[in-house]
Amino acid sequence: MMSNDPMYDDWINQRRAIDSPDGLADCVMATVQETEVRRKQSLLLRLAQRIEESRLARWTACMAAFLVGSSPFLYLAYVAQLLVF
Amino acid sequence: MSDGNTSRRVPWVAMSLSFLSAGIGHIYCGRIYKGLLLYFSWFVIPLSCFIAAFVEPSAGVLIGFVLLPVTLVMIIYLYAAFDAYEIAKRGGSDYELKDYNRAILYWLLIFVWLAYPISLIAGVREFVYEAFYLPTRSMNPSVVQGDRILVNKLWVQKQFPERGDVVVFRNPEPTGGRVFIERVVAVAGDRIVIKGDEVEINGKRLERNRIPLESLDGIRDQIDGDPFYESNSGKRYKVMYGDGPAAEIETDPIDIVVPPRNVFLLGDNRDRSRDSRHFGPIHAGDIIGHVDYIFYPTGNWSRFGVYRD
Amino acid sequence: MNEDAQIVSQILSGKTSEYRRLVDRYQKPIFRFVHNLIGDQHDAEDITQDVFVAAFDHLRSFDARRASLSTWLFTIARNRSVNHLKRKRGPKTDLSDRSVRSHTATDDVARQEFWQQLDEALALLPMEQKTAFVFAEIEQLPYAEIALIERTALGTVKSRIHRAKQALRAVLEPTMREQ
Repeated sequence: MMSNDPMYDDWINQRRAIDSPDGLADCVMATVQETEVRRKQSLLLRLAQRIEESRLARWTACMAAFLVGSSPFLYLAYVAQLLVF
Repeated sequence: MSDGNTSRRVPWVAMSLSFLSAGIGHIYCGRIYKGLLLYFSWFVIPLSCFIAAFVEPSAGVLIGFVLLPVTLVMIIYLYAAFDAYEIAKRGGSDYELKDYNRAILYWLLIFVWLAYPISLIAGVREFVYEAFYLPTRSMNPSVVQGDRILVNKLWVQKQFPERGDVVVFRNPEPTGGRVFIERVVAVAGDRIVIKGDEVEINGKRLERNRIPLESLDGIRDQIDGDPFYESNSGKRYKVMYGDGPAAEIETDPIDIVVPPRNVFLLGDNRDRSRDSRHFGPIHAGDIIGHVDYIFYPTGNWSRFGVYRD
Repeated sequence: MNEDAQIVSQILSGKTSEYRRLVDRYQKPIFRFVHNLIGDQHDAEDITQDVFVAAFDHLRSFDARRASLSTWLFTIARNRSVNHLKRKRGPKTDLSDRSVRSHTATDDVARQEFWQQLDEALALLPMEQKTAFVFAEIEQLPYAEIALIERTALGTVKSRIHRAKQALRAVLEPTMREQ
């Protein structure tokens, strides 16, 4: 169509000849490793987002937190001899 | 926790954090002072118990300085969770993150929370008050089986036991329980003579008067023998004879002078008690504390409060 | 293709370093595409990096049954580049373009001028014609694949490329007449 024009072909060819710069892969890999670390750190955050989606999950999370966090009261009850293990 | 410097405060997260340990929900919502105040609420218990152990025992002290602080800490714990929820809900979505809004801080506080109240309680139990549940009938009809009592441990630092005091002490024998609760009948230097049911201190026989059963209404079902008031150097306390296998308890007549820094102890349920008649006088250093309160009596609540002879 | 899918599953199972093989394999076409579309060398580098990092982040959503990895990467690259151009607003002739060109070592001023006019004409094309043209003429992708990337019908792709070429020819003709 336009390929009868050699200057146009040259233009296309030089655009086809563009090469990726050196070190691009290194940069990508460095960032990727970093994201991996960050992704592991934000695992809790993503878990939180999951829980957020359902009312039941939110209640479960609160109850689980209550069970863990109220353990000093359990110990208190044991010390007060109200609970016998 | 977020891309920028603002973030949404999630109500259920605030509540969960607060349940994990009171106050963190508030710190999460930027209320660090209130949060820390709530977080350290447990310190109320040792402080007030320490004061309670120093003053004259009374039902008011038991309620105001021991039971109320414990209840208060529980209420604070629940209040903190609901308050944190409300604050997060009201806070909207553009909460500006503070520099202390870090997961690591929350983890640290939660970790400490699981340890510090327990240490405080253990400290109170070790040095101030220890609660005991009475599994035996050896102190009927004074303190009965099933009673929960509070033993003042600071008391032994303050004074030497006197005749008539009810104390908890380490069991000198390898068998039986870890600790016993019994009554000091004679102190260092006293000559005590026991022949059968007769107890004689420094040549004076301890007088006994029969207690009418009606006056023991609350613990009637615990009375299987004959209750008496025994008078010992100006003090009067309840004892009981004729409950149980007297033959097993029967010992050789005793006639000793209590050595220095020792006390001679008898269980009030004389025919069902293993005491100084069997293992001899007890060194005062083996006494753990003085029975101050019955904080949870078995059956009838009329005996709640200061332990009275 | 199957090999790509294999590498992907290896990466997903935790062998992050395997991703380098995919980057090495596709960085050249992706960078070339981005560079041709937006012109600026530095921005093209940044966007290419973003493309590969984003691809890694969303590797789980890559479905080998729906598209090849290169198609998938081109799609991400296209979307990122288009967003970038929309943010920048307006075509921009840049100097770095010439630095790429200098290694073709030509003294022909007329040719330089002609190329520059083509560059400008390409930059002025409507977005969808521009992407379609770069995919078709420079990357030489089959039209069906372009339709997949552009999420449009094959006919639409054909007409977009046709119109892009027409626009370029319009630039071309007066220049040729001057010569």
